Amino acid sequence: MAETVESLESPKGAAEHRGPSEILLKGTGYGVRMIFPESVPDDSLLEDLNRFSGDAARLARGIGVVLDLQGRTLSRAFLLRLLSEFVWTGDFRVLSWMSYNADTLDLLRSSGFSTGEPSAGKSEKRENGPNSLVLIQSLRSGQRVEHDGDVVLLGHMNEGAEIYASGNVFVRGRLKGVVHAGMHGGEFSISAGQFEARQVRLGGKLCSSLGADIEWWGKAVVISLEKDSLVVRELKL
Amino acid sequence: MDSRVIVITSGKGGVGKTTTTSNLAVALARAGRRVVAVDADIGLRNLDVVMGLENRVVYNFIDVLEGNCRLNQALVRDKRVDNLFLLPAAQTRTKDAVSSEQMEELCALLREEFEYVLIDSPAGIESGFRNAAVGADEALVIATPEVPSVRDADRIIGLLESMGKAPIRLIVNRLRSQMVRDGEMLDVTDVLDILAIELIGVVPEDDSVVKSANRGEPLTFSDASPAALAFQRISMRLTGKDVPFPKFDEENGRGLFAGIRKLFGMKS
Repeated sequence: MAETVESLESPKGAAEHRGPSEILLKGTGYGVRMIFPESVPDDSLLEDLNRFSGDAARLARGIGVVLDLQGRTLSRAFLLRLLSEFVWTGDFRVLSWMSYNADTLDLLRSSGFSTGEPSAGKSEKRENGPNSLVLIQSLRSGQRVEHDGDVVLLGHMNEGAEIYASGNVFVRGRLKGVVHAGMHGGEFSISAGQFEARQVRLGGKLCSSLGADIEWWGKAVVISLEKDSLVVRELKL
Repeated sequence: MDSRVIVITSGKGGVGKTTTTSNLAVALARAGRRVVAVDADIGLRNLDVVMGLENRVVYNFIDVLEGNCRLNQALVRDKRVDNLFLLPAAQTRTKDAVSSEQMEELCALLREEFEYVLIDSPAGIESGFRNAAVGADEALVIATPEVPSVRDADRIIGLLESMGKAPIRLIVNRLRSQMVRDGEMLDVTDVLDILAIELIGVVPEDDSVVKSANRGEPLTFSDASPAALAFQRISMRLTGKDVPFPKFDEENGRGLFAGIRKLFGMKS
């Protein structure tokens, strides 16, 4: 499902509790999500993980884990240590890796790891209805959301924030950040309550250098990709 | 002792973190509070100079953490006002000289001694900022009314929120009313509209800030300049007093207060 910024998710299923030190464990629909706070240094984190045992560890081994690195900048060396000193030695099944740090995501992807919410359950969700991520907050500079499906942001999207979605993106408030809707292709749309973004990305199309001189700047708009062209409509209710 | 640990931060450099820390520390101490100003900018310390205490620095907080001295040996007492202390940073070390755990330990020690622990954060979002913020309960974010500063403040607020700091309050520094009137500077309403956090004070641009930094005498010691009065008002709001926001920009009838009323949808 979703790869999101901090505090966007509510725990699903099992109760939330503290693991070793500051590591937060969350029960989810797909397994156990282990959240590693950025404030814990790399060495301390590994020490804490080495002490991870008991029922929680057994549960995590059984159903798989998602490792959420939050905004931590992951180095190659630390990734290798994390794998060799925790994942492999502990025999954990890692379903996916999560982060909202762009460099960390790039490293994980270039190393061939699955990022974002685990794919397990996606097809089931699609059968049951649209795979939408609804965020009831604003996105601040530096916060990044990736989602396989539609994203609905019930807040503002400030400059420096990013949303990447394989489906449509709807921003209820002011849209000043970077949005890429339909990132895997297809005809999707971006809607905003107040459009003030310097660029939009829809499918394989990029429209940049936008500014206050365009007619629909600051207005509520729907931008869609239709027959390989970007079409902008003012959103009037 | 009831103690509050407050990190003063911004993301962007040069927006007035150290000036704010020194002036609030003096104002709070003059109001009878027991205060320590902690310079967390390891390697680029300035708070001692701005507070006029550079000649009296012997040890620094890295010495405390490394066991080279006791906390009270590193604390520099300001003789001009009771209850005001400075805990300097090391100038010859780097930000990596301290860990998050050590900063939390230091804050725990300071909580036992002081009512207000004001931590002057370095610029940036890396370990220096994180270490400065890790032991704090709450945060004051400084932003000047410029787009880069506001964007960096937005980034910092997101990080502070993810670290669980609350409340996170905003100081708009170096506001130039004439430029706002001329439409060449963001006004406070614009900044608040983007950052969407509680405003605790607005400090107007004031030449006396530069003079006071060079003299090593924070404005709130005695000065009645606009900036000094603004810092005093902020210190009072920090202690929970309800201090009205003055109208810096009355000439065109669009004062700050009117802007805030507009922001919350109230009639002027």
